[in-house]
Amino acid sequence: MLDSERDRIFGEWLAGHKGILFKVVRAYAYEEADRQDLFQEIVLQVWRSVDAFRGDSSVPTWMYRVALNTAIAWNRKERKHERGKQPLDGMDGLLMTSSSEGVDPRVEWLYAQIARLKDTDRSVALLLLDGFSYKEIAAIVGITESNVGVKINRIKSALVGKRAEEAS
Amino acid sequence: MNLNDLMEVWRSQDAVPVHGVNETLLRLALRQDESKLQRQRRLEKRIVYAMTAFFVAVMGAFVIIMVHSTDDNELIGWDLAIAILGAAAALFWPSALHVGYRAQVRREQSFGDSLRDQLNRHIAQIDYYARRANSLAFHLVNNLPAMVWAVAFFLAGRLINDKPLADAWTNPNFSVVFFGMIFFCVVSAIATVWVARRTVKRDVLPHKHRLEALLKELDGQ
Repeated sequence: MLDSERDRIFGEWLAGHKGILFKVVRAYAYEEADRQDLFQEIVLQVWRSVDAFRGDSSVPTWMYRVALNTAIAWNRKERKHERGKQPLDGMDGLLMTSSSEGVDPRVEWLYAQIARLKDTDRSVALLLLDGFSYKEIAAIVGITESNVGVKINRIKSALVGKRAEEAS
Repeated sequence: MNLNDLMEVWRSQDAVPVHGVNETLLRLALRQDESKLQRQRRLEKRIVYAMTAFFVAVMGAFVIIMVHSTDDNELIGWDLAIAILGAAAALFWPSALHVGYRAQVRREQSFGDSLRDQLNRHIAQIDYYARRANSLAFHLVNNLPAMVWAVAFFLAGRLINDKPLADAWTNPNFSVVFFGMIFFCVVSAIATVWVARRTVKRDVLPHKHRLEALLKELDGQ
C-alpha cells in the first residue's frame, strides 16, 4: 500500500472514530503523561494496522480491537522506563485536552466506575456501553459468548447497582 | 437508572469530546515513526550484508591466492576446502538469521486479532526470547559460523604462507593464538547467555507473569 493511500485511510478513520481512542485512553490511563503516552502508542498501532485491515469487520470494531489490544499490553511502569527512547520523545501534546467545562459529571462517574474494574473487564465494559453485541464482544476479546454474558452481568450489577446505591 | 440510560450517558461524550488531536504533530509523529523503523531495518540489513561480504571476500581472496600461487607446493583439495568452508560459514550466518526471523514471524502470525490472541502472541514472543536467552546451545550455534570462519582464516592464512598444517600444532605461538581464539568465542557465548538470562529474569518474566494474569482474568467468570 502506498504511503499516501495509508495516510488517506488513516485520516478518514481518525476523523470518523477518534472518540473510540479517547475512550480507551481515558479508561486505561489516569495521569496526563500516561494518557499522552498511551494515546501515542495507540495511534501508532492503528496507523500500522491500516495495511492489515481486510474489511472483515467494521472500522469501529477494528479500531476498538487495536486500541484495546494496545491498552491492555501497555504497562505504565515499564513505559516510564522506556519513555526516553520513544520515537515521539519531546512531542508532548499529541492528545489535546479541551476545557473541562460542560463535561457531564455522569460520564466522569462512569469512567470512575470503569477504573475500578479488572483490566480485561474494562474492555468488555467499554464495548458494552458503546452498544456492541455479545457476539461482537466475544470476537473482539476472544472469549465465549457465555463468558461475555457472565462478565456483563457482573459489570451491569457494578454500574447500575452502584448508581442506585448512590441515588438512594 | 438502568443500563440503557448509562449507555445514553456514555454516548453523549461523542458529541462533546473532552479530547482532541493535534493533527500537525500527529502527522509529524507518524512520519518520524515510519522513518525510524525504516532506518533501523536498513541499518540491520546493511550490517549483516557488509559483514557477510567482508567474510566471503576474505575467503575468496584466499582461494584465489592459493590457486594462483607460484610456489612449488602442490595444492590439494583439502587446502581449498578450508577456505571454501570459511566462505560457506560466512554465507550461513545471514541465512540462519533470516530463517530464525521468518519462523518467529510465522509463529506470531498464527494468532488472530482478538484480545486473547494478542496476549498469547505477546507471551509467545517472550517465551521465544527467553528460550533463546537461556540456551547455551543456541548461542554456540549462533556463534558457530564466526568460529568456523575464524578457524578457516587461521588455517588458510598458514597455507598461503606455505607452512604445512601438520607443523602448526607443534608451533607454540600458533597453538596459543588458535586455542586462545576458541576460548574467547566460548567465553563470549557464556557471557552473552549470562547477560541474557539476567535480563529475562529481571525484565521479561515479570511482564510475562502480568500477561498470564490478564489471560487468567479474561477466562475468569
